Amino acid sequence: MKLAFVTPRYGPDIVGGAERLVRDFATRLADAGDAVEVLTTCATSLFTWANDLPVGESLDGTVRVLRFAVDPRPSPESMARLQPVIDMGLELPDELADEWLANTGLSSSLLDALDDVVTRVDAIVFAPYWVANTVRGATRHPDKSLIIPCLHDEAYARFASVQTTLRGVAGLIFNAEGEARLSERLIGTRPSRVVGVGFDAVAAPDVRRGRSGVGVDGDFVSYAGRQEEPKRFPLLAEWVVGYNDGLRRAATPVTLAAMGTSAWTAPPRAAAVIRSLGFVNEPTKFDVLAASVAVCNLSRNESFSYLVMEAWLAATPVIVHADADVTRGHCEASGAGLWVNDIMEFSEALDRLRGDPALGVAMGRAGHAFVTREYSWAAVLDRLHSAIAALAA
Amino acid sequence: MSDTESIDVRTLVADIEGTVEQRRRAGEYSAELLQRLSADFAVAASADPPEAHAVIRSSRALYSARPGVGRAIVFGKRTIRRLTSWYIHPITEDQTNFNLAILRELRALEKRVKALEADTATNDTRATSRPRE
Repeated sequence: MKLAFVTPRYGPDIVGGAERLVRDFATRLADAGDAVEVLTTCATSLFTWANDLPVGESLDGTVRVLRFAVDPRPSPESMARLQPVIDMGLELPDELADEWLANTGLSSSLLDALDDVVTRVDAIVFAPYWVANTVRGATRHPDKSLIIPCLHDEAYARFASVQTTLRGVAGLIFNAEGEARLSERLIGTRPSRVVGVGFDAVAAPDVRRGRSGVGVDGDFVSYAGRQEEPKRFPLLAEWVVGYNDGLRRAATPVTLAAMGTSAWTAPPRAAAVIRSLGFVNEPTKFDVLAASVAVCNLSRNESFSYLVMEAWLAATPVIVHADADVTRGHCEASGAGLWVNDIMEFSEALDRLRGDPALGVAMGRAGHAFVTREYSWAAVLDRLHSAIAALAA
Repeated sequence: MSDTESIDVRTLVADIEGTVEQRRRAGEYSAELLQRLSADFAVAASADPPEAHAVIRSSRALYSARPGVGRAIVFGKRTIRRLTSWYIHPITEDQTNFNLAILRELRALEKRVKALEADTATNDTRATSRPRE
């Protein structure tokens, strides 16, 4: 199979869910014998969109990488002006939505190159859905264009031009059933497949090392990722404080072990329960996840959730929010997580897991089996091949 | 429980929800604690109606608490304010116009919603007071 991926940023040092997914897909498909090229921009930052890397061709393993310059942004100030409006949950009129999109890394030279690329590939796969090169690029050759949207229930998903693009392409490839349901609510039924994200087996985590890394005597729950409002980390901190301050039935309080960067200033009561570990390497992360009573992710903005899967690779149960379609769907499918509506249910769920360690062990094992079965790279690449063949036929 | 059993998480979650509901009815959850948490973690909000903050002032009273040099500092601040007013004043005017426009729309909507609620309440009363046939 001959494939081209189009993504705004690409490389081993790029942080971002969709970018990580595209690179994983591209390199593993190439390793499996497919002819894969990636069309991307010279940008490394979603905020500045500066052309930090040189234009031209390079190799990432056996993946051919073609880099194009981002056009000068027509109105960089409009991002600063419009972003707070979007963040408040207000809908932008179409002309302002298009103005916002025009400032998200548009590369005319990349779009022009698609006219040549389309003649030599079976499909062009764009990701994620909300950037200018996807919105404008996927409409150039829609019959051969697929989108891996990494869709969230957010303002950009309601932009008219975004929805027109999503409706117009040959097919959509989703990361989870919950994301597919969200798409159906937003744009109706479209040709699509659910593929997901693949995971390699991890070395058995060291629970004792995880406990000593966190440095607390008692039980702890953990979180890894950006500690910010959109990921509902403050809500998690509030619930842990409430659990400790009177909602628990267990005799002892818990600590919240937080890995990753923090963009949130915790109130003093929250700071007292959070053990902030900052950036940690992968083995340390899995050690901490494995030593936790539960891994908590209350975010609703997930098209897949690496954290939930990583918790299960560490054989630890998860607690997610009942409103979060994607993560709740993972829990229902695996039997390895609990979903809660409020702080009282969170406290009760945590008490159950702390009071019955065998329950946590069984759920953790169920989660590990689920990830291994459904999200091994072999299974995911098999589904990806089938999806591309079916949708771009 | 055995760690080899498969887990029926739907039943488990339903059980958790049932237990919480029972405890809620029994008054086991401290309203004081929940209110305190809401206050601690709430985004700061003003109790004033929005009209109180709609008009933006481009100048504030100037003062200095430094003994001796206070008058000179106030004079310096006033000079800077005058020098930058050509830039600041139009911005505050734009913001004020926008604030007032949006408030006008919101208040108009509020009136319409209240009128609709009143109509609905009247219709409900008529429906319930009508003798059954």
